[in-house]
This record gives sequence, C-alpha cells and structure tokens, in this order.
Amino acid sequence: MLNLISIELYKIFSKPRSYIGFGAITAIVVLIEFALWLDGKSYLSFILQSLEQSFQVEGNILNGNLVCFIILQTLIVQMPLLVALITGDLVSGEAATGTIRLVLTKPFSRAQLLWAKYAAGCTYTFMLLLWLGVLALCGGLLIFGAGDMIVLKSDGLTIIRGDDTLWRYLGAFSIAFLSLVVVATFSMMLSCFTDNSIGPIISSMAVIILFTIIGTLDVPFFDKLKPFLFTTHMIVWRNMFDNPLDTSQIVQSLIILSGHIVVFFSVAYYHFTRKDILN
Amino acid sequence: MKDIVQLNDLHKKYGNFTAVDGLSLQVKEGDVYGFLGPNGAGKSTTIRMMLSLIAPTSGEVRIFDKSLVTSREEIMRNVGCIIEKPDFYLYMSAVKNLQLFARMNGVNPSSKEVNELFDLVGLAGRQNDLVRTYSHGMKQRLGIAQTLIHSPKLIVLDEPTTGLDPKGIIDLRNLILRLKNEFGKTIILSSHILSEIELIADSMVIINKGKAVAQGRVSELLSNQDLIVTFELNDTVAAERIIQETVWHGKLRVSGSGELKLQISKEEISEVVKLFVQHGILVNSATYKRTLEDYFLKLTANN
Repeated sequence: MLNLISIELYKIFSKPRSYIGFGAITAIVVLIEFALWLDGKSYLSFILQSLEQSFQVEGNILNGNLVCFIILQTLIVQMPLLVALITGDLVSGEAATGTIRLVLTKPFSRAQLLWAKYAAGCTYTFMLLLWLGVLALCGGLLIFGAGDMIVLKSDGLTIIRGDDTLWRYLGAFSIAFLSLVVVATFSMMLSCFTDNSIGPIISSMAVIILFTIIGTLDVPFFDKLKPFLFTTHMIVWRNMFDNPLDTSQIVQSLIILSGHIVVFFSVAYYHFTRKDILN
Repeated sequence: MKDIVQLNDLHKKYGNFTAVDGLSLQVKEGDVYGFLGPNGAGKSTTIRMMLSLIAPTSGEVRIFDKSLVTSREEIMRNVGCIIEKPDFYLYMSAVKNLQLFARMNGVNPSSKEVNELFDLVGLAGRQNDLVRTYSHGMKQRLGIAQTLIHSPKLIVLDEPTTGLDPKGIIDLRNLILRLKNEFGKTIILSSHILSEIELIADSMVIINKGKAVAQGRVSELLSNQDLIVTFELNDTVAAERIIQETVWHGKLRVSGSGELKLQISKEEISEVVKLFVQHGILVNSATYKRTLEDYFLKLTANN
C-alpha cells in the first residue's frame, strides 16, 4: 500500500500543474505581506476607525499573528480550487489519457488504488496548507514580529494574547485541512464518474460557489439547508479565535465535515470498484 | 500443453444488447493465440473481461488454472498487456514510465535490465525522452517493453498493430515471434485482420456478434480453404488455355492485363506454378490475400 501511495505521489508531483497551487499561494501571500509591510498601518486604521473612537489601541497591532489571520481569511476561498485542480484529476485524468486501463490490470485491487489515490490527494492538500502556514505565519512573524492579536468579527472584537495564538493556529489549520479534505473527497468522487479531468474540477468549484451563495442568502427556505452544507462548516476554523472557545460548535462542524467525507468517499468507492472500464 | 487461459460460457450484456454471448475457449501454454473478429464482434469486451476491466454478466475466466474473481492479484502478477493503444504518462520520460509500471507490478528492475528492454524493442538511446515526443510506433514499442518489465508468463495484446506503418507491423510481428520462441511466452493477440493472425498464431478463435464461429489450430482452420491467387505472367492467354485443359478449369476467376486469378488452395499454388513453367510461361509472382470477410463468407456458406 505504501508503494502505491508513493507511486501516486510521484505522479502528482511529476505534473507541472501540481505546482500551480504552490506558486499561486506564494505569489498571493508575498503580495499581501508586501502590501501590509508597505501600507499596513493605513489599512488597519481604516478597519479599526470605528473602534479608535471608543478605545485607545497601543502596541504592535500589525504583527505576524494578525497578518496570518488576514491571509487565511483571504486565501481560504481560493484553496478549494487549488485542491480540486489536483484531486479532481486523480481518476478522471487517468481515464482521459487511457492509463487507467493499464493501471487497473496491475496486481492490486481497485479499492487499494482508490485508497492510494485518496491518500496521495490528502497528502498534497496537507502540503499545500502547510506551505500556506509556513509562508503566512512564519513569514508574517518574521517580517512583522509577534504580538497580541486583534480579531475583528461582525459580532464583536476579540483580543488574544500573543503567546496564546500558536495552538489556536494549529487548531485552525487542522480544521481548514479537514475542510479541504472534504473538497478533495468531493472532487475525487466526481472524478470517478467521468472520463475528462476538467469536468470534476469545474463541477467542484460550481458546487462550492452555489453552496456559499446559499449560505450567504437570508432566505428562510435556505436556512433549513445551511446546517447540512459542507461550505457552512468550512469557515469554522475562525471559531478557534473566539474567547472563550465554543468547542461544541467546533465539534459539531467537525462531525458534519467528517460525515461528508465518509459519504463522498463511500459513493466514490462503490462506483469505482464496480464500474466497467469502457474507454 | 496445459491450458493457460480458460473462458467458460462468458456473457456480457449491456441492457438488451449482448456484447459477448456464451463464449468458451482455451489458450494453450506457449501458444500465440489469435483473437479474431470484425469491429464490434466483442473482442475488446472479452479481452477486458479477461483482464478484469469489465465484469462478466455471467460465466468464468480462469487464468493459470485460478479464478480471476478469487485470485485476481496473483494472476495479474504474471500478465502483461496492451489494451487497444499504449497509453503512458506523457509528462514523464519513457524510462520513468517503465520504472513506474514496474513498481506497480511489485518489481524493481535494475538499469541494466531496463536498458536491455529498450534494446529489445528498438528504443535504445531514446529512453530519457519524454513520452509526449514519441510517435505512435514508438509508444507501441514502449508498450511492449511495459508488458515485459515484470517478466509475465502471459501477454495480451489488443489490436497492437493499429496505427503502425508496414515496417512497424513487421517489427512487431518479429518481436512477438521472438517472445514466443526465445522467451516461451504465451501471447493472446486480437486483430480484425486475418492475414496478420495467420502469419504468427498457432491457434485462433473467430468471434462474431459475441459468439465463437470457429476455433482451433490455425493450420487446421485455414487448410483446404480456397484462396484467390493472383499470378503475374508474361502470357495470360496461353496460361488461360492451359488452365482450361486441367482440373482447375472451373477455378478460373479473372484473366487479362498480365494477371490471372485462380481460386485454389494454398497447397495447389506450387503445382500451378510448376505447370506454367513446364509450358514455358514466365511466372513473375503468385500472391494471395486472405481476408476475414472471405473467411466469414465461406463459414456462412458452409453453415
């Protein structure tokens, strides 16, 4: 099984398209950090202008912790696309090029192959997120230094002590990882149903956009749907920066996200292990 | 010789359409086995069922005397194949592709073994090129190398000559014969061209509409089958007159423009040539082309 996973990882990292994600993240993070380094104080003044009328804000507010939070909020929207670009191609890409015919005649089961592809897809997702974390958090701390973190939300303001942020970031990145694994599983599931690689990537993005729109619309009918949409729970990483922490909400979201993973993978597994290879 | 492959009453249905209809056959160890049939006859479906790419509706596939359902992985360790066309990871070099497929088969060949394979298939010196730069013929050769990388006992080649130029076809034919004679491989070869199978296969099955219409040793199936033989002669008028006086007078088909056509068996060709030479007629060539269509027509007529 480890041999198969390493083969799948080798395939992923041999494709030039696999580096688009790393390149895009690097470019965006560097751009944001550069812009904040150049003119971050004006940006913060604009954001905090209503607060500054009531509070006196002192110290290094524009620090690495806050910069990482800003980057995460900005990039988390694009991350699913970068993930789906690879995971949506895992099965259908091989079907499109015809290599699936050859691969499926090798001495391992389809279930093993699917698990290996899935593990490789999840590893890629993890590495992409790790890269984002290194650039955003480590880069942010290196350039802007450490300090207390101000988290401005629609329902209030939270101030977190600088030495209280690391474990929260670890938690936030873990939740973000699980959210992206949902996207990876969903796009891989779609990938099992088609013989072209573009379809699952575009379909995954279309579904995420649709669910996000449903999530933002205040229509009573949609309110019943929202708790069941995985996109509703993909933003729960932000709750790691609540003080005090609402663990029940986080755990509930983790369960729902995990449920989505189980359902999507089961559908992919059922179809892939039974389908006739006709192309 | 024992049976390497056994198909027992194999069926495949897609809704109301029956692609394979009760096919049974046996492939002997060490044979080149021809799998013949017109396009859409069910060859590819059958081959894909043999390789577990398609699940049969009913029936059984046994390879190396083991059921494909219960011993799939054990069986596939000793099977190499090309299905329809050789597809590779185009963004990798040929040698990387080969190493990757070797690892999928659970083997780790040395550089020397890999280079020997490239030599064998005539791709020496091109192993580090990206596969996307390969021509179809080169990919086909690489496909053969891929089938051999784990030294399988059984090689399945589905329409391997599709898209090859005449030289490529001859090279492939010679390679298949080498694999059989020097390496003792059992080879299943599908084609819709009878002459292709006739030249290299020991046994064959002909399928049509998912059913076997004829099967057995090639020599037996094709013996006593009349051919349309074209003789290129210096005097067709004299030749026609001579033929009219022999037992072949009813076998004359066309004559003129330096050519004379007779419907005779393969064994009779030398007798006719001898007759012409005895009468001072110069025979430039005697050629025939046996087509699957002709064979089918004869089978239908016989039935």
